[in-house]
Amino acid sequence: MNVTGSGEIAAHLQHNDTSLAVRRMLDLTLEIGDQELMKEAIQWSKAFHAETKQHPDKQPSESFYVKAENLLSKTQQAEQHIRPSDLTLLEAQNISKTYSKGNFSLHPISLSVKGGDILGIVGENGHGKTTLLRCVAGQLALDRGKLDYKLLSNPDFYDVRHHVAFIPQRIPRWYGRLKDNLHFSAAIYGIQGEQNELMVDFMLERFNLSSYQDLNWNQISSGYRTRFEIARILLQRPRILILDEPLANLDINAQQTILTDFRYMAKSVAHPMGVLLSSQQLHEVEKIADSVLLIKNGHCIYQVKKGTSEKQSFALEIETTSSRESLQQILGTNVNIQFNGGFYTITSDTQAVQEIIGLLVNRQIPITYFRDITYSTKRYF
Amino acid sequence: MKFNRPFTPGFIKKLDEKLLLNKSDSWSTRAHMVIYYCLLFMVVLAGICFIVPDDPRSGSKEPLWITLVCLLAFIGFIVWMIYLLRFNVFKRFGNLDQFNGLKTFLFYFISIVFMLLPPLVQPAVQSVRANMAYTGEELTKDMNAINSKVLLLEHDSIPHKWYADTFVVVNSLEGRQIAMEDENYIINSRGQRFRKILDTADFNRRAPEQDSVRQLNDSMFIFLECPEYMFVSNGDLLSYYPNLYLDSRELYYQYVLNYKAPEKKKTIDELRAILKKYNPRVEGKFAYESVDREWEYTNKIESKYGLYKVDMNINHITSRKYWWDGYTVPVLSRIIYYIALGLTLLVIVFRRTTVRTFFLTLLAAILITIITSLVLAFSGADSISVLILLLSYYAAFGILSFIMLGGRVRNVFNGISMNLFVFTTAFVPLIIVTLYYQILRLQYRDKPEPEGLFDNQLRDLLLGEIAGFVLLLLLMTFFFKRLYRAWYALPEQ
Repeated sequence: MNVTGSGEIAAHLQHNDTSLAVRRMLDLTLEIGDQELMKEAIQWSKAFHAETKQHPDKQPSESFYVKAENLLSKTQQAEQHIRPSDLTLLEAQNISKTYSKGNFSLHPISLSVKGGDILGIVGENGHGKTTLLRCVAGQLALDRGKLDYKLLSNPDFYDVRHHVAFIPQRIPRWYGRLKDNLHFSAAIYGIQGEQNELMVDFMLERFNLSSYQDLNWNQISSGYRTRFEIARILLQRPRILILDEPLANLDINAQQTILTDFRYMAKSVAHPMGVLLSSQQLHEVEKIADSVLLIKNGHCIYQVKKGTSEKQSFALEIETTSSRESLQQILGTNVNIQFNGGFYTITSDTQAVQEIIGLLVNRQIPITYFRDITYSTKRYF
Repeated sequence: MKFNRPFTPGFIKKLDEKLLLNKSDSWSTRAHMVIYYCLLFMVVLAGICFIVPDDPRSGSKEPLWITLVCLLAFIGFIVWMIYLLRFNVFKRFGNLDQFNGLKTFLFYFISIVFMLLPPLVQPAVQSVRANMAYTGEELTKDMNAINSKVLLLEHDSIPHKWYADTFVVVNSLEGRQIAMEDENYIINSRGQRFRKILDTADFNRRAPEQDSVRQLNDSMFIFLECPEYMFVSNGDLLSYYPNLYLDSRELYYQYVLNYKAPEKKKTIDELRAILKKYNPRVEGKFAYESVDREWEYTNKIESKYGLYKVDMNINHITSRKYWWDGYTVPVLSRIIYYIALGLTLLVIVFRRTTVRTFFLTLLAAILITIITSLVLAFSGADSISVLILLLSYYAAFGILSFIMLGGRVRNVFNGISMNLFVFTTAFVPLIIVTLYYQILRLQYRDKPEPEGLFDNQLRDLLLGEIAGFVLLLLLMTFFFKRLYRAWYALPEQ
């Protein structure tokens, strides 16, 4: 997982971002791959969760910080050996798909995913996001085009399905005890014996699921089901992870946490993953994705890599109680204002977003929400 | 690891944990749990069968027990299915080792065999109880004593003249037709329809069954048959103790030829004691009270001494004692083998294909059977045509399955062919052996067959069954796993 290293963790601890510090410490020990260190980190994390469960409003005890210091000193020595890798994992060239029944077609799309990349796929419902993801996962036959899984030589479809992990929007039900499912998933992907126990404990702690491990599927909420499914899939150490609407069942806090975790996981140095995820949560996806692909009516109408796109015009969306006329009066005729029922979208070729906001604030316009969408796919919706 | 299953000892929990963490494909079959629970159930059931009062002289309740335990075993099978469906290495695209197909098949097969064993516990226990209560030698001696004492007591009321029937023997090849003609039938000394001319084959078959055979000249013989002195008899004891068991002829030589009038009271007391051993309700009067005058002497004597009930009770004992002998074990083995094989293949097919394909396979099998039956019925085809048709089906399923290996899209028709190909494999060698013997029969339909031509047929059929199982195991290891792996992973259209 992405290691900015023990320095980052120390900073989180210093600012009392303890929950994030614990997660990152677990990530770091996994990166290092030292089983003893992982066990220590798991114990530390368990103690932390037990403490916060007992006293949710209190800061962790002194022993928490002492143990953290101890772990940090050990990780600092070990993290010197971690070397990053940057491999292309998947290349899709002009893949297209038409269903034999129904009239939907996915028109030729090309994409490339490297280790550590997150590709966000956005678009409205029924426009082809799931079809694209299922094609890439080897679940749907292509009409045309080529998929190249770079790490596999002459793979059959079983190899592809083994190599690519896919989490569908509706997660299939798990049967039996949740922890047994995790042990099973790890074992069938070659993680056996003590290592299996360690990795399952690690994932349970990493996603803060330890207190749910003995329950079954019916006893947990849909948000926890998503987390358990992610933990299960990650135990399989996939090189390519595909998630179809993973945020659909999560609350706003969990969405933020999971998205951050995806980013860390993808950017892992020891086990970098290519992540493809589709979502309706446009801004959240854009925040973590390295590139974003917008699909409309089966066509890829916009594909941008973070930091490489050129603006066509400045764009901003705001929510206000003021009328269009008053906004137009303040901003002048150089801007175009559109109202979509919820908020206004303001575009301008000349005026920058900060300039527009400044004008509105100076004229006492009440703004309850604003977002710069100059580089966002949102402007194409 | 949390483990809440009832009656599970520590070593099973440890084994379960070890398998889950190290051999997940074996763990997911739950064979270890099935075997453990089946053994536990059989031990408990055996205990119950020992405790429940059961007189070996009474009629066995085994049909009731077997039905009840079969129902419980079926419930066990359903529970196993529920657990089995929870985890599937194959459908999760997990690591499959070279012998995964073989291991999975054998674990399913063994699990089902274990589930089929509990219905046999009650018959086993009743055999043990009957063996503990009565030895075969004891029964044989008691039967001899009953027959001999009744013979001595009733010596004067029994006709002792042997049945004698004269006939002519002719050569089989030339005389069979003559022997079969209606005018050559007569009524014999026992009042039965009898052929007065026998061909040599018939003679050789029947002579050893007679009490005595006398030759009058080159072609004329007399069959002599002793009167019936076995008022109680038992086929099992006769076959197990032929030297101890006294048949009518031996009773005649021992007690009729050397007849000495018995000491009546003592003999009756002794007889009563033996009869009470097998029928506690027997009374000591021994009188012809409700006897029909038209009855044969044997019926009259049986009625007088209450021998019918004694005979029946001894038969109950021997049927319990010798339940496992003769054809029982081979027949039961075949029943268990074929049920286990069929269910194992169904489970394999269900676990390795989609639910839709599984049910369509069942539907296709039923439709193929109906259509084939109709075609064969209307065309009047013989058994050879049926067998050839079955082999053709097998070849067709195989070809379609091979074609699928190069496919790019998962196709339900290929899936059905593949399932039927797998399902029928075990029967192919058996069909080939049957076909071979049917062709032989056809060749010798209108001419005499060489001696011993069909002597090995049963052995060859058994070899065909074994070869089918071995072939299935080999293909399961080296080919079917590859087939299912390729098919299930194919993308959908």
